[in-house]
Amino acid sequence: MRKLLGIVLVGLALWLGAALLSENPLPAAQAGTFTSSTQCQECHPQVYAEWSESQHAQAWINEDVRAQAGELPSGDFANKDCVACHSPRPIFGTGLGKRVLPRSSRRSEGVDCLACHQIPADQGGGMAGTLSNKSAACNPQPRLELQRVEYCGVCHNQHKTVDQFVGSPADERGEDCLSCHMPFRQGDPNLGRIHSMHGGHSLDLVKTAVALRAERSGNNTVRVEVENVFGGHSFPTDERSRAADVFWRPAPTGADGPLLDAKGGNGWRHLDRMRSPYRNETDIPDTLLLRDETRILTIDNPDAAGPVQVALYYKLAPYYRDPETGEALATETVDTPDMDANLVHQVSVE
Amino acid sequence: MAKPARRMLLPALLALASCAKAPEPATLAPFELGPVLQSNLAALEPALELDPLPEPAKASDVRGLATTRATGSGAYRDFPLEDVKQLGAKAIAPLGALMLDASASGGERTVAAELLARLDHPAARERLLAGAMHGLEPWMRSWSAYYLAQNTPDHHLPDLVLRFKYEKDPTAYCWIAIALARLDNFTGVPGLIDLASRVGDPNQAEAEKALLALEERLGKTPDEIVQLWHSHRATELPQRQPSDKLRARIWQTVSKLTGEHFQLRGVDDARFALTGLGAWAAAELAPALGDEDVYVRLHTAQVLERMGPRAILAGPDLQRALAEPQLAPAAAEALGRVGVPGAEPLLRERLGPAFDYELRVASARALGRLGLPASGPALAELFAATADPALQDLRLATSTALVLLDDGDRAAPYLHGVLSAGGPPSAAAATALETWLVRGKDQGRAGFSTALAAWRQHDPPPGTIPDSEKAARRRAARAEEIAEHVGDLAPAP
Repeated sequence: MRKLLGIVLVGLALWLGAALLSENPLPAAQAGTFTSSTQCQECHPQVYAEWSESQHAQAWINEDVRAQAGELPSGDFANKDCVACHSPRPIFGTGLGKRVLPRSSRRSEGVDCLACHQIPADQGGGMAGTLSNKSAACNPQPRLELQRVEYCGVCHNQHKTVDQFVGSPADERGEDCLSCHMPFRQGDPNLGRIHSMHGGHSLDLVKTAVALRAERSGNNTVRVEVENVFGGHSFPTDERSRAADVFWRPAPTGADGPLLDAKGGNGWRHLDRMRSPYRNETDIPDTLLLRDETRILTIDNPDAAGPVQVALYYKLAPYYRDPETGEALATETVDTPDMDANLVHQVSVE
Repeated sequence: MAKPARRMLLPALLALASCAKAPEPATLAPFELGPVLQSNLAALEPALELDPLPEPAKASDVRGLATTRATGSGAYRDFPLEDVKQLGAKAIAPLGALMLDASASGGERTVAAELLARLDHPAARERLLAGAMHGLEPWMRSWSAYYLAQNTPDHHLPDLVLRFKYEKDPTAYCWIAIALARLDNFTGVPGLIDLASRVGDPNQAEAEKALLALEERLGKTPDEIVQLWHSHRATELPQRQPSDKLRARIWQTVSKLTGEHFQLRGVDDARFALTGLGAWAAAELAPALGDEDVYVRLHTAQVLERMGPRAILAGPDLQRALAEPQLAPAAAEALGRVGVPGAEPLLRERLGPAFDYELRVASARALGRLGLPASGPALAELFAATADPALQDLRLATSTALVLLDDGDRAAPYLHGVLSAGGPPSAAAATALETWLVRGKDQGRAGFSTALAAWRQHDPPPGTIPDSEKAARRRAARAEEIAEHVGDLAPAP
């Protein structure tokens, strides 16, 4: 019996020694033990801070989104069709080219760190990244899929953005989603990519996507051109709830401030709308500005021979609403787009 | 063995035992995944095959009959009825085309729908369904639905239910609701009640008539019918034996849920159509929880969840679905929404750390919706054990469940803390706190009425344009205002 006990003790000692001398004294945590993106913050504070400011982080809690999705008193989306992309399970679990599936937990984290980086245990576990580091708690693995447009497409191609991109001028230039929406910090690959993922909420980025020109042409008309200069996808893209509108008005005269009409409006008149209808809007045409399109518009018989202003507005929600009543307004009746839209470009024609 | 060694061995064994994994929870008999969808399609789709139609009559001849019927007068106007009857199935294709031909007159097209209805032929009814579904003009959809309502085959159910997702015309809506009610599907009854309440609305009389007919047939008021339709007692409403054609259409609709389809529009439509079916459909759909395609499994669970209590017949299968890791969270959510009391022990068990985090959160949420007192101690224990910020989502779900179990005092200070901190989880905390205040007020608890009134002072006016910043400010203001109330209203348990 003493011999047996001795063998056991020696065995235990060998196991202990091997454990202490192991190359990885801290075994990598299984990715499955990660239950919240907040756990990423400690080691990746900058990335976490950037993501926290991103629309991905807002995907579940954004009030505009919740209004579109018909928030229930329970705090869930009434329209559960939206849940999958606004709170997705890890993309690596469903795979490229496949729809993501909705998750039940941490929904308020929206499109979070785990949705993009977590590799399911049955695929080896860990987190997808650019480097392998077995001593890191999250066991990162280099996965090139992260850079592919199809990776973003698992959600964003619901609105056909990736389809729009493939074969586009930007694609031909060798760019991808990350080129514009997730560039390197200070342009330096060694500093990693910015996780704020700017898109439609960044007016600066929107301004680079499209150009507005106008000139007086014959027969008392003004020719307006709206060009998709970026050429990577339609303008606007992705969210069917986005819209862009072209307005015009005779330039204010005799006053520095905006021209006020009798109703208190700013005198703008609607000229064109760029928008893809939502799923239940079967009677609205799709008027997005295509990736290589220059749309020619004409203002016939502007009231005066004097200067005319033309403006392009961008909206994060499709309809203009009466600020008092909240009722949706017919777009063609809107004369004060500033109340509910962002000015992208404005040009004047003498 | 010497005594000292034996004394050492026992603690060592106990120590080793304590390192072992926690006992496995009771196992459920899982589904054996297989081609459920494909098997059903193979078995049922032949039922949908129609006999081939004979060589169609000349379109111009048929149109001439329609013109006579549309513009003629007296007995002359009725002559085409006999002619079309003699043409029989040969008239179906030309009439179907005429009905949707935008270049034809409205009168001719309406008559085309009428003549199709008079033919009383399965293929003719398919044309009418096309008119109700895809007619560009509201009046065309309305007339198609009207004629369809006189004699609707049950396999049109999923399509007619789906029309509710898109139909904006009240008249078309009214006739679709009537057609569905005649098939013992009561999805459209709330719409009929609404139309009947609109004084002066052109559809008011027809909606009233339909509701009266329902009341006489079922011996229940429209409100009672709606109440039953959304309850476990939906099975007490008339349940027709579904035809094989209807079952085939259901499985064709299920086929739109597969992972083969990337675009969600079709998936959404399929979920919508299936969700609007009667209580019997839950039993038909439940086997899809064992399909080999994870999308079919998961979306079927979502359909059952959205059916709510009406899906009670799927209760046993949803419980089995808890054994499938991919499906388990969605099954748990569905069990909560459907309200399957027998699932309570299983869900309670799945709160434990041996289970996947997703499933734990879903189970906590489901237990809250079930609202059974038996869950209380386990939820309270879990609430106490989830202070780790990484488990915040689980704690929030648990807190909400405690509120729904009338043990919200325990969680209220925590929820208030989350609300005060702002950030992503504060929306869920606000929802839970408001529920806590409402329940406290409804129970007549002192101070809750005042606190709820203060809370609701920050409600945005109806129709307000949603705005993230305003919402954040609203939550912050509520957190500040309610701070003084929480301590008094939620004494430490």
